[in-house]
Amino acid sequence: MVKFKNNEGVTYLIMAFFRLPNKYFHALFSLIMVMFFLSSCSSEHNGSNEENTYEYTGKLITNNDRKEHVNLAIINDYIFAVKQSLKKPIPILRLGKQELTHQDEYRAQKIVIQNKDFTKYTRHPQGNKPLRNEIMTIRKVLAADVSLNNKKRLSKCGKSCYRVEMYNYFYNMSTVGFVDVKLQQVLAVNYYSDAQPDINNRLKNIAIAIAKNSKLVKQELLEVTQKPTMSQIKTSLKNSRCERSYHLCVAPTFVLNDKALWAIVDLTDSTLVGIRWTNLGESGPPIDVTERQLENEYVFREFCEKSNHLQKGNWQFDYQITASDGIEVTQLKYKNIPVMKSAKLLDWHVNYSTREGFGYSDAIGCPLFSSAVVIAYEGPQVEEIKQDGKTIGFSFTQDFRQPPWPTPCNYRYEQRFEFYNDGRFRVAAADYGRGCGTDGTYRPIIRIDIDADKDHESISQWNGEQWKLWTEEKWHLQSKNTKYTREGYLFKITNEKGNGFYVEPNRGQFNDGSKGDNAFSYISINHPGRDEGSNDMVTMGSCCNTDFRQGPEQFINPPESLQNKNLVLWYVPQLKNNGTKGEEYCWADTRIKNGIKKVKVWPCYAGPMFVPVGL
Amino acid sequence: MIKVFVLGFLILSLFVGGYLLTIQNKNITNDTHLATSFKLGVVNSCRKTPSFIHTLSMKQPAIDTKQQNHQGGLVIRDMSNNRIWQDESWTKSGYLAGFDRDNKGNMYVAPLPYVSLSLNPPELQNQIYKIDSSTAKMQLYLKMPSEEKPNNKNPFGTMGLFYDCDTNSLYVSSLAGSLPRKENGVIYQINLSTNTVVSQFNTIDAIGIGVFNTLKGKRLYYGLARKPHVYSILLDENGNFTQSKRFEFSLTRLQGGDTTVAKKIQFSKKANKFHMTVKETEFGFRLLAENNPEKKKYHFIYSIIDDKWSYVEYSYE
Repeated sequence: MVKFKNNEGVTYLIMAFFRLPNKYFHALFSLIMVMFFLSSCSSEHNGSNEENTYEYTGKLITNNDRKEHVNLAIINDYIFAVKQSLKKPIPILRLGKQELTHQDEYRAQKIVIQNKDFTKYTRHPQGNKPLRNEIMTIRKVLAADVSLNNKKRLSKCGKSCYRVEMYNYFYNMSTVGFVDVKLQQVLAVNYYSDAQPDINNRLKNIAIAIAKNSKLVKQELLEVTQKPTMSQIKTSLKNSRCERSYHLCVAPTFVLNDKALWAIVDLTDSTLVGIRWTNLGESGPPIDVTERQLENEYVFREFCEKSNHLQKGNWQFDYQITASDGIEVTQLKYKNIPVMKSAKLLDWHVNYSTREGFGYSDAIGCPLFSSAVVIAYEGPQVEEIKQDGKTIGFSFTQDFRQPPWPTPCNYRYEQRFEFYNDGRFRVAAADYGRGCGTDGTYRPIIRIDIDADKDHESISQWNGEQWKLWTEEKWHLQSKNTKYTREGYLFKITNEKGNGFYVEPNRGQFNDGSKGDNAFSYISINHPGRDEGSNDMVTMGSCCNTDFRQGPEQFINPPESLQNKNLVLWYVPQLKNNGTKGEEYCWADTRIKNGIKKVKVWPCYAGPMFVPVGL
Repeated sequence: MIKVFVLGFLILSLFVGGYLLTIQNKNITNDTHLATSFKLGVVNSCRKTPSFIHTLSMKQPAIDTKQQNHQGGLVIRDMSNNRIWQDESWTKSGYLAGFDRDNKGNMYVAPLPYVSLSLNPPELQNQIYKIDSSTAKMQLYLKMPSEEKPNNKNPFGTMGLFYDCDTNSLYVSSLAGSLPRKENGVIYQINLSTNTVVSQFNTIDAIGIGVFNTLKGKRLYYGLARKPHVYSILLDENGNFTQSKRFEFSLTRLQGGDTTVAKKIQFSKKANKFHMTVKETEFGFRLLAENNPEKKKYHFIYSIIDDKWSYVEYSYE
């Protein structure tokens, strides 16, 4: 048997093929190989003509669907253990003897949790409430563990020194203690904020169980029965894969041929966040799949890049999240009859009364490729509206947040549409705080194009005795002196036959905790071919005007006759926030629940109800 | 017949391989043939403080483009008492992204839509402004020569700026016209002597940029706008872009790193060592006004022996 070294075999075969002298062929072949090698194997490469294209393939589990794992025994046992740990004087979930490989590791844990520096952040400084803490790893000290911070203290460290890592779920921080079990002493304690250690086996098993039992993962893998590889689950003391929630998240991956399915598992809440496929096999920059990426990609691909259609009961409409005008509902029909061409929210104006001219015009919209500053989270949610146990309609809501919300000077808003079985519908919006202070007033700019007729719409206002027709474009401010019908109607938008909708402004009668709208209403003409808010608007008026100059006034100045025209209603509620304890409104605060952060919200809802006339 | 075909293929391969090798050698010429004036290290130490700042009677003047506690744009802040000064002409740029100074003390700034588009309309974003060193007046300096226009779905134009003393060049990154599924960004090299674009690196979405003279040649480092990666591209002795780029590092893989992007890249020399500082931001081609105090700076030291940047630590902005 002839054995060749390196390329010898190939070379001899070609030589034999051409019957060429050995020396010529060696030279020729070697030259070719060297040139190909040099031209293809450089660490630097030509990049100017690369076509850099992107795909958005992430899939997200929305919050409402993240409860599917509550019946897994492994999770129930874990949650029980966490709750028990919170009842202990030192609220730390420890590793059991069976989870450790050496008795000294257990001793190290026992010594370190008695150390005050190590347990410094295990309770909240206000109220001494227990926080969720968990020991993650215990191992012998390695040379790489010695840093400038602990060099002096660890200098005497022998073979009896152990490193104990603990994760604090409330602060998203790691505490590392170095223990000499022979001396029974804690030699050093280091804290790492926004850092997560390698997880223990208990959590690894939970992560795998969540991923394997997820409907979404099962759907993607179909009949494949492959164990997930956990090689990329975490590396030591890095930031979370959940950059927005600051939860402990890991990414078990399912490798299939040249592809990998990443599952982002949230171990703080024991849920699956989402999944994403990536290609394997190509050397190059690292690939990371994270919560933020999944959330952005999912919303962008599903609700920003395309229009969707919803049909439920007697209602149907199209919807799409815009670049800066929130979610737009279009072609709304009830029993197949057109009732509204479009409704959207162009801007949230926020001004602060104690600071003259200070505030923001917040555009809401898509999380990628937009001019929004407060972005869509997840997709729209549909929920049934019940009264006395009966379903009377459904709501359609879209959440918008600045990622650091509810930290100060960050905002969260909601657009909400309600559709009732009897033909009523409501176009509403809510603020969830927290903003830059307790002296804020929020003014959402809502544009509503009722479809009563193509070009023969009219608007009338109740003056206390009768409906008074508006003859030209103008605005109105809801006040104490405003007159409403017995049913609470202020306006009536109808066609020539008298069909259309009553407009019932919010005065706190809709059982949503609202204190009323105090709204500006404007009626403008919908001019064909003129962009007066029908397309995505870059910006809409000043943040900080406290009078009618909120933006829509530009479309009614100078006022035009409303006769035989198609009309647009602009509705601008005014919502004053309150952060006083017991009176919170348009507000959010962070609380401790089961040792982790939970946000408590006091939303302020606004928006009128449309009640059919003659339907 | 088959023999002829195979022999032909081998000969053709010889020519193609030779051609590719020649091209590559041309691109990496700087590795072995550096200009005689070439000096390892920081390339912007010739930058001067604008003359007008000396007239402001400030104890510790600092150029401040942070978008906090004022209505945006550039201000000169006295760090000793927090007093700020702004020329009335500076409001025309709106909020700002990058800025830099040249060897005469002139300043160059790039506009950036931040809270809303009212102060930064898309049509005025793919350009840079110049602030005269003596008069402090801001004027439009150059519109980027691009057919791609910022719009409400990508309102960004010019982003990062960096001045190179060696070639009197200003480098400008631009995201104008980039699409969700395709990069259309450009990094420009502007010759400040002729006020013209002399070289450009196409189809690359970058934000932070910075030039450094490595042991093997002048490189422009750039942070991608869509990924947490920092790359570099070799520049020739005139500061023109070559075809030779390489991956440097990813912010996610650093100790304490994030899935953010590099918005600013700076170089300095301290204690006889060269330092690189990379500032991060979260970027998704949407407005940037998020009040997140947790932004980080990543610090690196240059290893001359390895011609590599070694990560040291991070700190908070």
